[in-house]
Amino acid sequence: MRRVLINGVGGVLGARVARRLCEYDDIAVIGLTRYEPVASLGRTEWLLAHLNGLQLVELLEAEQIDTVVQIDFAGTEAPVTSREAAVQQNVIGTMDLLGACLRAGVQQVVVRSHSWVYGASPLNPMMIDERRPVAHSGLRGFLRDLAEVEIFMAEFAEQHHEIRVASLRMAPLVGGWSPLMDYFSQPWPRMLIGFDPVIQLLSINDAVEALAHFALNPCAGPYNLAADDAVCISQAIRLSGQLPSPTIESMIVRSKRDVSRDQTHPWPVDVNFLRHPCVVDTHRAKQEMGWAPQDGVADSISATHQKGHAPLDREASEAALRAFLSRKR
Amino acid sequence: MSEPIEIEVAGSSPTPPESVEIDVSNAPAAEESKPAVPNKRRSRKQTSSEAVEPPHVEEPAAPPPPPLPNPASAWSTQPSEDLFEVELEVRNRGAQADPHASSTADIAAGLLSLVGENMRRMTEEQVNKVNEMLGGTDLRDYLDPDFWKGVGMVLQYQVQEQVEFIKRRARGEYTIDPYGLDPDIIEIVRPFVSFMYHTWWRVQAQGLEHVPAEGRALLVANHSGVLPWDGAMIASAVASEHPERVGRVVRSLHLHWFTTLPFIAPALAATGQVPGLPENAVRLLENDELVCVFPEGIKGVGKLYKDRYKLARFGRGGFIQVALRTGAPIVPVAVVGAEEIYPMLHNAESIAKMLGFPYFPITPFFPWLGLLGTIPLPTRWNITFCPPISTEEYGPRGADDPLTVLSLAERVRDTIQETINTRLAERTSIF
Repeated sequence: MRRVLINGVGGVLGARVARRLCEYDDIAVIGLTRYEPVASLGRTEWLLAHLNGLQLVELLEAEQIDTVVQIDFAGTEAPVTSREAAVQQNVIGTMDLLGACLRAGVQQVVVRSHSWVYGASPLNPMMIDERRPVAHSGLRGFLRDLAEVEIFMAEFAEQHHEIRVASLRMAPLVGGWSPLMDYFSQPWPRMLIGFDPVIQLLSINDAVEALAHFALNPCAGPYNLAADDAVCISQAIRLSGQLPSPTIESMIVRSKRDVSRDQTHPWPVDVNFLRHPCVVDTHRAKQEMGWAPQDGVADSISATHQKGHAPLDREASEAALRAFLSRKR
Repeated sequence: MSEPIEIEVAGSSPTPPESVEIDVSNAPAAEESKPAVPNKRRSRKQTSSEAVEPPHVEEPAAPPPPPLPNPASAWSTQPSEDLFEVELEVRNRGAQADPHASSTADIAAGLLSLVGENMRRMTEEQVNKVNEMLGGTDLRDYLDPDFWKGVGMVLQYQVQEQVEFIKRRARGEYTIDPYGLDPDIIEIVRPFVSFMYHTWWRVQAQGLEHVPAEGRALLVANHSGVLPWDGAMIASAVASEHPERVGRVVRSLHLHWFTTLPFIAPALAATGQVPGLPENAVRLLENDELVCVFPEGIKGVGKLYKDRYKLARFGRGGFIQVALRTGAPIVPVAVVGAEEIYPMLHNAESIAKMLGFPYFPITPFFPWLGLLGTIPLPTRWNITFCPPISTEEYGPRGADDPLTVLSLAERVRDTIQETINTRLAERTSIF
């Protein structure tokens, strides 16, 4: 019997991964979260706590966890309230977790990462593969945290061969809250005048599938994940039902400074992402892991735009009602 | 082309007399006494089938035209073909007349070609409407007002289609590839590039059979002309004049500095051009694409006029390594004519440094005439595609052998230089 711990089941992504893993009868799913889950977790047993390293070791050993999924990153699923706390949670939290996993004899850790950790630069190849080093500078907000985590993980994996550490560098998610989705849905999203880079996205369904798939199969190292098609930023904005407003850089930068003062609005993470593309090559995930995205980007953006953020149709509601009424009392 | 239409021509067309001269030489003796109409048909017959012959004989016997044929059949089968013929005729006539008239004829022919091009995209319903409008008039009656009404209608549909297109773009309903290539944008710029190719620079392309119709290949060309027009013309030559009509997209590699420039960066990406990094070249060739590189780089485009047609250093042979790694054949391409489009007399390095440009050209027209100075001179171009150089026998390991790489680079460079020298010797005037 596999025993999987998901750190960060409180958010939409974590809850959906937990429910997805619960579909397998031979897998025990344990959840850990810092706040009340926003969605149902199925039969997941979950714990609301903020644990330090030693407490994590205790939990992992007592529960005999063999696989850990780390998606507990501030700034990815809800706006950040304090930058300092976010760094603490993202960087120090992941380091704590990896250290605890090593000590508790966990076999595999799957960490959620972001395809933008490569940074946006004119020197990027058009299709970035996993061999390209993570950007050391030029990133802000949670991307910077994730880049630091990536660098730490690479060193960690080199020193400790007894534990498999995989990072899933996922393109920005469509569905649920994310800084990018927030940007797309605000009125008149600002773009840099004269630039319209290609961006890749990933539907949240594919992200859930990927996290579950990689957690259950042996994997190590970085994997790029993105949908097969790409869109221009202006196209993504139009598909979201908005019209882009081209702006000169100094206006975006100024608003960025205003934003960082109250720390609630992390987009644009870096103006460079409005200027240069950051397109990743997903061959490794496809060939080595047999993963394949199901949803096209254009479709999922327009679906999200049309249905809103809670795509629960009549059929799904009916199924949920049956499941609820037939539950064990 | 159906025969009744021709009878209609005979009945109604006010044919200009100057066309008489065109085909008299190969027209049958019986026709020589007749006015221009049979001659016109004669010129048409060269491209159409023999079925044209019988009505043509009957014609003089029946001066009042017989009942109108259904022109719709002609329109819906090959409407644009007819127009192309008319276009050809206008061109021919223009060529035979004096040079002043020839330019107006060229413009008329260009307009006809545009209309014909657009008609290929029209729907059946739209074609029928145009037919109704045109009534019984013949396509060859380009002096008849009804003919131009029909043309106007076609253009109107064209405008409607454009509006639809813009609406669709505004909704974001289009697809691009991960490199940013946007087929819609390519369709939009095609007429302009084609104008520059055929009319402005009158490019003569040779050796296109050396460009493979499928599979990977690396085109290596000399770079010149301050702005990278040569890449667009090479792409246009392959797209429009390849003997197998494959319409391949040439992916030119450009200096990655261009991706930092507003408006230019998205335009380059949309037309399928990629920043010149070895990783990009390898990836494109592995996808069996046609890649074009300019190993001279900035040293080539920013060449002074006095150094024209002297190839600059070919980098460090990075393009050869790419070809060896991917086993792609190298097709050397020599472009003659692009050096003179902006005669760069001086490179104002201090201004260039200030603006962050790789060079700042001073030409007889730029920057003195402002934007007008950016209009290239209408020189006559020749693009020669040389026989491909196979790289397979060296294997991918050859890429790590500096001697192989440098000697191959030298060989490609010599081929291009020799071809340029030959073409220069053949050339009588730069215009």
